Amino acid sequence: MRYNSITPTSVEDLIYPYRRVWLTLNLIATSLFVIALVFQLIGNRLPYTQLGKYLALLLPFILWVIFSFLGELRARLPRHGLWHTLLFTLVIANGIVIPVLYDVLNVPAWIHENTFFNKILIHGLSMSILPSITTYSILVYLGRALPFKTRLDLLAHAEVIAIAFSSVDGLHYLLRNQPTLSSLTLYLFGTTVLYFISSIFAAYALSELVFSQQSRFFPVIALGLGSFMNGFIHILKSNFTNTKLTLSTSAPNFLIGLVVSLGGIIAFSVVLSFLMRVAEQRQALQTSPEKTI
Amino acid sequence: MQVTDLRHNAFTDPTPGQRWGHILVGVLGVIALLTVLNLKNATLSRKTIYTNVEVGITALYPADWLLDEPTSSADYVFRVQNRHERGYPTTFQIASIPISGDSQARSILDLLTLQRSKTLAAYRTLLVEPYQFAEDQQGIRGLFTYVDTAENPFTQAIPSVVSGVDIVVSVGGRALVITFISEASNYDNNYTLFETFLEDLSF
Amino acid sequence: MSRLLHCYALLILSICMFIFTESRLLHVHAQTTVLTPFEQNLDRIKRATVLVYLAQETRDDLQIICVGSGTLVSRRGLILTNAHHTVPNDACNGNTIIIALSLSTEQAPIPLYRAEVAQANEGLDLAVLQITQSNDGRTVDLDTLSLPFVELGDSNLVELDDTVSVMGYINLSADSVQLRRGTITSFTAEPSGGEKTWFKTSAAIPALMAGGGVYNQDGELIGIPTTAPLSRQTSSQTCLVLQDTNQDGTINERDTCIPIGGFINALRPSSFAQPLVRAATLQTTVEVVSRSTAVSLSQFGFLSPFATRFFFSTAINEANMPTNVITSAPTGTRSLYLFFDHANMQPNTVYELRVNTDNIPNTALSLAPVRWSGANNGLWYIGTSNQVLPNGVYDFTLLADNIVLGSTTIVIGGGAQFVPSFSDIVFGLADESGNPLGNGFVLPVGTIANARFIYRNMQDGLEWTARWFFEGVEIFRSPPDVWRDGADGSKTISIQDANGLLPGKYRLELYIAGRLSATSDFTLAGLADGAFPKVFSEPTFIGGENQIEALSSSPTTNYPNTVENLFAQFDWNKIGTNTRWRLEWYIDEELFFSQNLSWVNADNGTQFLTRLARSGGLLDGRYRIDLYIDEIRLATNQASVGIGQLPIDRFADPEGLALRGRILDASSQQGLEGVSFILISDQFSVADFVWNTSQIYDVAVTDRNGYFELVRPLELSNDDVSFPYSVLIRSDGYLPIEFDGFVVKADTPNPLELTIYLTKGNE
Repeated sequence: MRYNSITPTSVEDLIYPYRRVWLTLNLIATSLFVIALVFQLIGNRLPYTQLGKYLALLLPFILWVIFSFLGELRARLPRHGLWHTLLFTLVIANGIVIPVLYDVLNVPAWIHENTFFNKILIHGLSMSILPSITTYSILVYLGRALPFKTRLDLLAHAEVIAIAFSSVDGLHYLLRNQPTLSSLTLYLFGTTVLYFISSIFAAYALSELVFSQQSRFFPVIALGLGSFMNGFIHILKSNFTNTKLTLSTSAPNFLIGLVVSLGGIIAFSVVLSFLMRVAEQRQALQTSPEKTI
Repeated sequence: MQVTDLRHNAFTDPTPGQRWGHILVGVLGVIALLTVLNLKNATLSRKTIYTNVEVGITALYPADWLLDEPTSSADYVFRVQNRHERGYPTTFQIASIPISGDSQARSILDLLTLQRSKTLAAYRTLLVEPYQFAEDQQGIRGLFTYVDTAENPFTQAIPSVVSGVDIVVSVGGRALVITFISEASNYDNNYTLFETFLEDLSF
Repeated sequence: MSRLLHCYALLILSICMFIFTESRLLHVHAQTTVLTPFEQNLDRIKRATVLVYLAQETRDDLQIICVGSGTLVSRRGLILTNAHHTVPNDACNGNTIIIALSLSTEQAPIPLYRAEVAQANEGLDLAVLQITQSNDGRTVDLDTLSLPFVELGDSNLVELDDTVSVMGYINLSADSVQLRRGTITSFTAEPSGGEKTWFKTSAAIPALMAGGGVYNQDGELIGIPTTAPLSRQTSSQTCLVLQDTNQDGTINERDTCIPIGGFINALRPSSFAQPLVRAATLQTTVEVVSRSTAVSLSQFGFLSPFATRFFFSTAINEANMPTNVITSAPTGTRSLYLFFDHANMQPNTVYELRVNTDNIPNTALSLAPVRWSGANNGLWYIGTSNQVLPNGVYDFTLLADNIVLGSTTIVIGGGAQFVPSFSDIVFGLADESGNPLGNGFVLPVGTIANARFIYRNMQDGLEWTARWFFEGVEIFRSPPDVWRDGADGSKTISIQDANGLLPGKYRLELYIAGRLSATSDFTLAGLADGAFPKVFSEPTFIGGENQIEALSSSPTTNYPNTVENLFAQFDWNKIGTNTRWRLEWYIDEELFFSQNLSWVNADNGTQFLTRLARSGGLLDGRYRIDLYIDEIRLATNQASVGIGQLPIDRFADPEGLALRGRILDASSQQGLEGVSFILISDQFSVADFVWNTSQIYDVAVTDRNGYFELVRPLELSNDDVSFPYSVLIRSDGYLPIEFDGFVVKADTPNPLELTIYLTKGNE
């Protein structure tokens, strides 16, 4: 039987009773990176079945459960409503976001006919900003029912939204193509990072609007900038990854892609976590002690 | 640790500024969607202009399609193909055939049928009907199909069913044969491109 | 925080491990093996070797009659092969030619095309076929046909002991193309081709390889294995039964078999094929318009071939006449020619020379059964030179259609014998000093003909005589006389007729003590132009749709390339009936037509017409006509069509690097069908590429397995010149691949196989 102790068990718990979201988010990304790396090494040496590929689709979710959800249960003050957010986002992603991105806009089919800057613009205005705005909207909508008390609450829910996007995207990818398991894990890592970046910018933008009483234009600017930077990372990654012709076997350089993606999520995590911490500290200074409960 | 005052929930009771913030994000989403749709349209409908003074035609064809202007005697004066499309490359082609005063467009179509039947497998003309060009020019339109086989016998290319349209119109002392050929499975999608091509064609 | 640091440390370690592992497992080294020219071209040569079926096709049946090998000599589907298994004849009476190609050099050939005979010389047993239809009966668009082909080399440069490789098929549809290696062991000389009319090789060539290709070390085709039409013997080793031809429900010995048996070692030099290939490439027909319809009885085949007057000589002159007559030869003799008069020989007559040395078959001097390439009647020789003949008794037996025509023997050995002899007969009109003037073998018609000969080791008092013949009939014999002119020197004799000597073929035989010591033929034709004959006027060129229109046109030497018919006309003087003459046509100094004819027109006349014809207009070039009698060129002229030079065919060179490979999806590892691999010319980069075919070197589209291959070989770069091609692969939904500076060199593997992975646009 689980219980909440009246007295804190350690000094650290008194100071920070919640799950550390930034850490778990990066752990998920890093784990996916390692898994993708391992499968690239193994290649096609092991026989894979279609069932194995469907199970691989659950990797982001499984890692979220391991690092985030179980961590949430172990925390002093666990967050609630994460499952609701997950299920709600699965529906939205499968019904709206993924079809818009891949059927209506069909961005991957024509984006590469443009120049480098135009590709960043297009990617930023589609593959990056639409999931970002959707995350923002879901958080605003769910905020009516779910108790978002801190900035990191938004981030935790944004994290699960990204996991949902990634899972649906991966399912569609598997159904439309016949990827090998190594390619599938590579794709899952790439899309998870893409949606993570979109989501953390959405969480940051909303948290500043709600908790820091920022200007009404702040979310637009933050989402816009974040999406363009996300687009830049993604286009840069595809440029580095793309096959360079040789006189024998010319294959994509996935290692650079992996490193660029991981570097992107880590960099954005570091920056946004710093900004959010500073904002929290500023807010703590502005708020008088008697208002603290 | 900082906890928000439950007496003021920004999500259930947002301030006007917060409300505007949400609305502006929504507007941003709409703008982004429309912008991308516009960019998509602009990318996919980029055109290149082609002019042939000798034959007297000006055409706009999709950018990055492969242009072939044969220098030696060939049965066409202009041909563009979509070479980044997998399968049979969608083709727009214009031939200029000298005709006598007694020649009719229908006889040109029949001649094409006879010639193509010799070299193209399973060539069939499906339909012949009048066709009205803009600017009161009457032509004739023939729908055909055949099976395209690979030229190189050393590859294992599967023959593909191909459909196409010939539009024959008499201009002065010659007949212009405007041909559209596409993989049959993608015919309808590509035909819209051909219609745009016809609209932009002048001779 | 420490946990985060621990995780990142683990991450960095993983990356390092991976980089280390990848560098060992996944790095692929390109091959840098240096290949010999023949090995570099071997794949292309194998692909260019085809199996040729001659079949009899009826409305509902197709029966294979004969089979042989062939070689593609142009990308537009010209095939060089033998005539005996492609031109219908008694042994191979078919009406359909089917061409089978090996789609993989390790697999048996697959019938893919139908062909027609474009050019043929049944006597030389050479034919050039043109692919016209695919196997389903559709006409093949030759402009889009790009088949691998080989280049004809200069067979005159072939020397003894040169290593050669023979390519062809040895079995019917069971084996892939086979290679046999050997060396050139001897040359056989005949009047039709001089010293190198035949090559002999040590390679054991199965008979089915006849019509295939013989290659030098540079990968050039320098010969064609040739044999007489194979006979349908009952042995299963020489004749295969494949079809139920008699429709009795079983396949057995009662069904028609396809002859495949035996071995051959005679190679026809490629120089004989050059004019045929050239004519087929030009698609120009030559017609001798003014030829009379009179034919000799022997052409009906009523009379059997026969041969007489066998004798030997050690040398021949420029008119293919023996310089001497010998009955034995000393040790160290390097050349020997067997001469004989022949009659009633046809192009489909199969002749054979069997030579035994001390009762042991001598393969170097023997000639395996082959088709006759000479005239119906005349003087012929078969011989060899430039190799020391061992001492021994040489028995020569000549056969035609398996019937012995004659035999003779000569002994080689011992020291040089200083016997009285006559040699080196030349003919002409005598000057004041009595020396014959002229070209030596064709004299103008007149009242006298002089002959000068060299005598050696003569003794005064020896009996000698001269016999003169006209058209094979003796017309004069000098009375027996004794020699009074000393031991060594030259002497001139003559024949006269106050009424004038008739135009035609003459012969002089000189005897010493009743033994033939020297003989030569000469021709009287034409009016006297000093000491030289004026037989033909200078040919002039006229254009017109037909003969009548041409004859009313004014001659000129420049024509536009829209002209479809070009006539050459000339007048002639005093040419006797059956005088052998030769007509040759050249384009840009390259021979494309040569025909030996018997004169059947009147002795004198005007406006002898020969016509060049090509549908769509003659190709640009300088066209030259040459007229010969007895190997002496007597008239020539040339005209220009268009710019006066053949247009350059940028696809004419088969040399270079063959580029092929696979394009696969990086995520599924499966081949991508329908992707275009664009190789941009070395003049442009990808950034310069504006999607115009004029900038493209070649394009290939992947098949169902993602496999592609360029048909046009890439030029090799070296230290002096570089060909930096650019590659563009663009497919909807995938990241494009753009690459500049694609350079291939001599040490690049040929063919070069690429494996290219395309990444999806959303990955």
